Amino acid sequence: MLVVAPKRDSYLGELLSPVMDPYTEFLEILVPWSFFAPEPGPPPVYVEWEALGENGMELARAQIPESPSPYWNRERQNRRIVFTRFMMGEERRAEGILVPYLCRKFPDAVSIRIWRIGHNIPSLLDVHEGRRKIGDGILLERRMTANSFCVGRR
Amino acid sequence: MKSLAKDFFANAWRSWNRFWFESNRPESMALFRALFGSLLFVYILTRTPDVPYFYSEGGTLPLAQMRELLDMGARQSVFFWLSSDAALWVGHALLLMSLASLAVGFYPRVSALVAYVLHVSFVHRNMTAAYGIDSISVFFLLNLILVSARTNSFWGSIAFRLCQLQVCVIYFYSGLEKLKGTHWWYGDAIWRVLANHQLAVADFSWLAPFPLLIVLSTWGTLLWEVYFPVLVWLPAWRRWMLLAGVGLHVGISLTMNIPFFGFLMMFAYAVFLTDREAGAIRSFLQQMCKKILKRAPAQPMS
Repeated sequence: MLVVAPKRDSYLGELLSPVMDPYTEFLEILVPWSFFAPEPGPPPVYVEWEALGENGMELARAQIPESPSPYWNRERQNRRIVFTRFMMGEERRAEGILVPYLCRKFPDAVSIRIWRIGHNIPSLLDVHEGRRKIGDGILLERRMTANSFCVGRR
Repeated sequence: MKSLAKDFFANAWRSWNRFWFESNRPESMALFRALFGSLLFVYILTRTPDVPYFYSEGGTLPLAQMRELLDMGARQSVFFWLSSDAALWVGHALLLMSLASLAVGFYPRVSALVAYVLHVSFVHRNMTAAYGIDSISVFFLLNLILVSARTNSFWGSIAFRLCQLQVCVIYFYSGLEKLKGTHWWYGDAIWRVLANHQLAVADFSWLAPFPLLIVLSTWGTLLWEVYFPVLVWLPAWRRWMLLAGVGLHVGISLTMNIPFFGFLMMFAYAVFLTDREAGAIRSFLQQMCKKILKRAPAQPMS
């Protein structure tokens, strides 16, 4: 059983990865332990989506994860936060995952639009001196990452 | 000189063997297995409403799409072969049953094996929805496959040491990684966590007038995490390191919305207890359970 192995992108890691990877991937023991590290976690991030019908009519609009959390069981929200972070890691991911999902969910949808909403964490000094508040939405980044048609419904 | 060297290597070999193969602590492992099995059972149970959303073909990530987006390498899952909704629900129910059986110590090795295979299968089925507690659990389940219900076992000793080392590895590498982060050096990392409204349980603005408290807790966390893997082995420091760890994880659980992670790490401390300490905690918990069961009103037979 493996306890410690070199990092994948190091010289030793690259040398060993053809031998080690199948083993560590199969057993799911390829984990770089780095909780809240090197920085204490990314700032809050959300995916906002909109399903559009014919003539650009809005069918539905929501964000993942919802805010505030609608679940009494916080683990449900945590899973959605992790899922959102994964999707926002690369732009093609949100498009590749959410567009087909929402097209299936809304049979009348013709196209899907997706935005990335990135919040900014206020500094300790800014809050201490009253310049900002936690979750004030200042310096919020809202960027469209996809505007795609549902396959066969154009 | 030759005999000194010979003695040195003979002693080192004996110590190595004693460390890995003769250090079984059945009470500590039984306590850990019960706590860990129960916690994971509740954690997986809370996932029930999201099984279709995250793992089914009609959910967010059908298999074909996942393979397009992610390099799966050698990862395997029971649900790659049995992808129907019925198979998912059977897998989910079996996972819960195996965890319950692990917690009570009923066929513990088989239960751990079944739980491990199904847990990894769910993780691999949708890797975008897996996080900290899922990853840590994989290692502990894997180790528990070695632990039988017998009091003295060769494999039990290995599993016991692997669990101890696993806790140390998690803290040590997380600590070292933190040393690369500027906010941990600046002393405001704890603030960055508490001011993240997606993770924090409440608005912690009231802490802003106490910056020194934030700085001290940040550096304290860092120091404790880096030194835990060394000091926990020293008898004089063991209790203090574990108590500080409990304090840290209770703090995390009270301020951040990740209670299962905190409890999992605290429960893992059971492997650093002596058999006597673990036995005392176990009998206390058993008595509590008995009292609760006695108080529960008996259901009339229909």
